[in-house]
Amino acid sequence: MKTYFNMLLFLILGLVQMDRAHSQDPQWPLHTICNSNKLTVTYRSCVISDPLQDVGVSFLPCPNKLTDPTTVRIAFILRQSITEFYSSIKLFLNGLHVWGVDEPLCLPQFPRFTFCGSRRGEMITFEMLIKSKVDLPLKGDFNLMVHGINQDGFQIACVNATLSFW
Amino acid sequence: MNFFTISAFIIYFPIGAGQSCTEIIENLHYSCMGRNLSYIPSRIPSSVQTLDFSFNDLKWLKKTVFPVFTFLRVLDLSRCHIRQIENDAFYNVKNLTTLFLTGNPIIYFAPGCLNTLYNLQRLVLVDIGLESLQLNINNLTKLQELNVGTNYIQSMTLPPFMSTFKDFSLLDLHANNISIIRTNHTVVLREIGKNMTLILSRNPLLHIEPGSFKGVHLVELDIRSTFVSFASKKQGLNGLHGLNVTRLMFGMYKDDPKLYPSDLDYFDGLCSIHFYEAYYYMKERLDWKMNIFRCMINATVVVVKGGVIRVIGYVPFHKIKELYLINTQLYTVPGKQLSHIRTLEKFVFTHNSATQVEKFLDMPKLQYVDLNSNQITLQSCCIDVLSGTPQIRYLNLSLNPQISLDKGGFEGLESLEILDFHHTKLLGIGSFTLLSNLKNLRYLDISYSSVTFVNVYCFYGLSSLKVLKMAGNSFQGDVANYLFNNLTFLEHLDISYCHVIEIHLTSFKNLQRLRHLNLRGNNLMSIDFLTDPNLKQLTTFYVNKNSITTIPLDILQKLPMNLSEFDLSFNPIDCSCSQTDFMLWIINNQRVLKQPENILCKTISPNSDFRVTDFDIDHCVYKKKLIIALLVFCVVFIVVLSILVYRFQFYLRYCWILLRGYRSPGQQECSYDAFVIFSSYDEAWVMNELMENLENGVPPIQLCLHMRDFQAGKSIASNIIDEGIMGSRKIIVVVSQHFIDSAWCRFEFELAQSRFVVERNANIIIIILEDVAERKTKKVLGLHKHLKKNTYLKWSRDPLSNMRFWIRLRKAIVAT
Repeated sequence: MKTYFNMLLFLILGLVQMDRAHSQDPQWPLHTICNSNKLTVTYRSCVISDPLQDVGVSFLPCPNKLTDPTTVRIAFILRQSITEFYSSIKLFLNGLHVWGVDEPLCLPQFPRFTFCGSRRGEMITFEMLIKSKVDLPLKGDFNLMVHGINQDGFQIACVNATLSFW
Repeated sequence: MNFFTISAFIIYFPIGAGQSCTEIIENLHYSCMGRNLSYIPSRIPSSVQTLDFSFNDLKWLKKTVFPVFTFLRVLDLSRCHIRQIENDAFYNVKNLTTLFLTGNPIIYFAPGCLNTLYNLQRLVLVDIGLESLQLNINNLTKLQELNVGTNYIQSMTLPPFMSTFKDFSLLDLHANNISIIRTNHTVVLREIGKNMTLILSRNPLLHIEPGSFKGVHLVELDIRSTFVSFASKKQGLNGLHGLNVTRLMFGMYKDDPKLYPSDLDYFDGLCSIHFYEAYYYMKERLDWKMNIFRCMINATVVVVKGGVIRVIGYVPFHKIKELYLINTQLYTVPGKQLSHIRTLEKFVFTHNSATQVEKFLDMPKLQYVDLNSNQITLQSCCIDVLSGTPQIRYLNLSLNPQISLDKGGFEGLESLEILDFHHTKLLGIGSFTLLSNLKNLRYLDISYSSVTFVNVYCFYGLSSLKVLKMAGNSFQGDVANYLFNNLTFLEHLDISYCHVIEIHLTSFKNLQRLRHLNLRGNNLMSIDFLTDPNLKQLTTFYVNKNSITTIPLDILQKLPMNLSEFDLSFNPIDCSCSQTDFMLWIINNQRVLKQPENILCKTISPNSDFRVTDFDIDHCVYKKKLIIALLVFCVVFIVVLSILVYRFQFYLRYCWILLRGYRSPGQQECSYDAFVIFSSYDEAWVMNELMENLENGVPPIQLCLHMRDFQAGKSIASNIIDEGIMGSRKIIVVVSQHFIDSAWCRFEFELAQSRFVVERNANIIIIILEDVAERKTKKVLGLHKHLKKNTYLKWSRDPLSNMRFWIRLRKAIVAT
């Protein structure tokens, strides 16, 4: 009876350990933002050092052409304060770096965005209307990498997106 | 205890260990962030003062949740899924001064749950679903800050008891549902008195009843992105009449999607508000006729950020001290409009579209001018445009396209202390002495200004300069060795990325006060100049990303004594065993070295990174010992080999003969019937007895005797082999005491045995001439064994035995 109990305990704890190992699978789920004849946009949050965090992104509506106006909405919960916040955006085509911008979004003096100065635990929602002035006939798969860092060097959010133009 | 119990414990322990909290400061500060805990771990000591318990799973706060933490001051319960808070929930942590409950979906707030926190100064209730400010916190008389942003509060009415909160200074109501402010909503606010900050940004305000803020005194009022429409915005500003506020922040956030039309009357409401500082976060595009500053002429600080202005008209400011025009797309630096404003001290004009600068006239108090990040091109800088500003101390023209410095360009600007041109192309400065009258200049930044220095007197006269940054420029010839001679007060020198190959030993001889030297990103191969005794104050030295392969030990021993930060990373360090002194110094001085993990060895493969700190010094010592050991071994080997060669010389000769391709014995007719192996001392017996009886007997037997039948001129060994062993059908061994003692006899016998092994014929006949002690026969290799296994003949003088001896011997020789 004692041996049976110990075996059962061993088995249960083994399963718990397996479950824990499984829950630490280092990849966030793949999200699909747009899925139309013209444009497909999918993204996955990067695996950042602990603690992990997913990011919500949506396009309203999905544009058929670059000149169509669309609102990009981003939402995530802060795990660190952002007195200062710096963003980095990089665009790749077939592995080649084609465009990039590094921009300080929040600086200590004269904060410009609603989320500047937010603290840990707060929900950040950011909306931006984007519209291109020229309709570039883009074809192919683009990789977009976006990440943001706070005043202490913590990576606040990170997203890897794929934009497929047909 | 058996196997399964132990295994279970082993598995369970890592799980438990993963849930422990991080100790930030021993016994004082702990972080349990993101551990999915539903209880406070018992290992948190009772002395804790700061506890970060955010992102866990508490759900229901009651008295039993918290152990007694008498000294706890800061408690962070953000995002703990708390839904209910009972009375006395915080009883055991009642000495809190700061409490965070951000992001918890609280549906039940017990009436007195917060009232046990008598010492609370800061309460953060952001995003918890709060609908009213009517909180039961009358005991929190020391409260200073209340942050209830991002909730559903509809009225800013404070509970009456808060009028007794004399320390209360911050009420943050950002992003709530306040749509109307009436006079009776601000009664308590008026009674609290001065030193209050009120944040109302991002509320959907429709209407502010006129007089609501009459007689109210605030330190700061933030109403950015607060009005739902243009009409309500206009009315709202009018509704603020009578307000006294030090800092007024209005306008819209950049990410606010609303866009309002321009209107001339929009700012009229500002004229009835009494403020000292105005911060206008603009999104509108204004017509050139509009005068946005009309109601700000009494302000001391005016900030306009964002939007589109293009052109501004004359503004009769009469109290202003600081003016900021940031990112407003103005075409021209408005020197004309600002001229004759005698109170202005600071002017910041950045991130605009200005291409030219109008002259600043009659501005005796102006000290600070920041024109960075524009499109300014100046042909003759700088007194032409700043002739009316004799008190300027700070001038920033960085991040502009191009500035030409003229001779005498700074005359009249002797008060200048800080001059910044970084990332602005500069003309003139590298060839002429243009800054000589700036006696008070302390800081000069001309980094990345596309300057080539050809004149060693460029910095002549800068006798007070402490900081010189000139990264990304270049020097012609050896100008760098003399350029800094006059900068005797310099403390910080940055000449990184200047293509410097060599620095002369005396280049910095006058820089006795130098503390920070940055030579990053050059092509230096040595740092001998660092041993200059005048650099004794140096504490920081960056020489990473250069071409340094090694530094001699005598240089390392003479480095400045105060050097506490030395960056040697990303140099092609020579990590061979000839540089063990340098390697050892690096390994032992990692405290001083910056980024020691990036001090990499020069490698053939560009993909492999080998760190100097991982270099194994013992490997070199071992290598040296190995070499010595190998040498000793070689010497010993040679000696032993020589001894062996001498010892086995006969066998070597035999092998040599065989290797020459000796013919098979079957192919050769034997010349003799028997080869006689005997000692010279037994020659008499051989001649008188053996030869007489065999060769002279019937039939005659042909014997091979070395003193008679060996060929002259041929080596003894060859004769033994060719004529004796290989040329005879049988071998007769005459064993005697002398035979045992003879080296040649032993050699011949051993050769005979080797033929015996090859041919497998019993062709060795042993004659015992005299009795030999058994222990002596063992001296001859194989003889003792042979006598044991084979029949031998014994010589005797007895006639009968003698006759039988000769018969048997003859028979043995004749036998095939």
